[in-house]
Amino acid sequence: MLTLQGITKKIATRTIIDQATLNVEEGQTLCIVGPSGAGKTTLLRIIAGLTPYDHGKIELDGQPFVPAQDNLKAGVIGVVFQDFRLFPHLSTLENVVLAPRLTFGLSPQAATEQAQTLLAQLGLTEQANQYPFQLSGGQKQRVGIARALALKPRILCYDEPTSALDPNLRDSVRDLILQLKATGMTQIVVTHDLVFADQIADRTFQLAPYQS
Amino acid sequence: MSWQYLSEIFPALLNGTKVTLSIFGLTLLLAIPLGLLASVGLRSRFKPLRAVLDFYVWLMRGTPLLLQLIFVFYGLPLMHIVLERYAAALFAFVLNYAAYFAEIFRGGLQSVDQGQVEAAQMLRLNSRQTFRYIILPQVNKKVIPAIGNEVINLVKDSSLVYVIGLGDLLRAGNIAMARDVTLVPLLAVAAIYLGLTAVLTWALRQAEKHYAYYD
Repeated sequence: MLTLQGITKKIATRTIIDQATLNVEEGQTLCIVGPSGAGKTTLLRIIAGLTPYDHGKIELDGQPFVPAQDNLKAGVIGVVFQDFRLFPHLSTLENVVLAPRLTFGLSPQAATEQAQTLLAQLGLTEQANQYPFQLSGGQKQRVGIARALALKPRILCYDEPTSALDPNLRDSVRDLILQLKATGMTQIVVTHDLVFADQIADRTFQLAPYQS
Repeated sequence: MSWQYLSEIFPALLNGTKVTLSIFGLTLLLAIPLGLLASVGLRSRFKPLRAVLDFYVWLMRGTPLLLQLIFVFYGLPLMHIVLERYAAALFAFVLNYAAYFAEIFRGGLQSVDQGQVEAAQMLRLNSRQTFRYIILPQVNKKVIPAIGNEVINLVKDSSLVYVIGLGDLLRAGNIAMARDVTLVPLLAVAAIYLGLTAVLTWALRQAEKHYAYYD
């Protein structure tokens, strides 16, 4: 489904990612693991189109895929950020409603119904009218997931989904990822937590810091 | 202080207040959007635009508003640009206050985490939508206290139009004081300014409360 071939990223003269080659198939969960500084988040940002790369190519369904153009236009890939990046001035419901309204042109009623369904699936019905500052880390995480899912991405990416959470919430994120996997969602998860990766991954890609 | 005397000078003070309020209101109405526009330009990647706007802000904040007023009304005619008193006052005030607002908004824009823009990008919001629905509401909350200070200053600064002979509140009071040789008109003027700033302070507190619903 999504293939990366020989992706290289340099910042000034420093190589961050050297010749990364990986692929993820439809419905799979791929974990990108490695120590801090290995370039995991950078690779995720490249896949999402938020960071340009220097060499290599990316294909989606066998066709060339330029994330910075194609993804940001077509929204193939959704991202759940490590620090959630919820919009602080919008309630939980508004965070999830906003993009479908503006991007898909859904009516307020249709976007709200869709958001309420998503929030119910993620156990956030009671938090619908709360603002991000009123939510726990785990709840923010789930709002981030609901917000990304509202645009119906084909691939959902997570950047260190457990790093900001208490150990007991880690299991709930694991269950959520497994639950989404059961629906056929393709997922790419960046994590430094090998045990967590073992629990959720169909495949694991090891990224090591570049040695010059 | 007799009530009769106050009622005699009241019409003149009222007319002066109208001029003060119209300079104040129109300056706010024009300078805030201009300042917002300039603040976006101040963060532009297009260096010549940034340089021009940096120079403009430096010039406006680095010279007294009184000098700018005198320059616009008495100086520009030497270059064959003649503005009548009210237009000259408004022109100088808008240019000056837009520069201050531009700096305030620039600070507000800078304080919004770049991550918010990336999150909006991933949700496929275009730059206009991102600005309107994500950035601006967050900037508004952050700039209200600083804008509030400038708004209060503007009420008081509006008395500077006196120097180009525009009949504002202070001028009306001053004329009555000189004519009747009494301090009462000046005390009445002070009371009106205090009343105006009290109303504005209350309105600004309401605006702050409006945005206090989130952290």
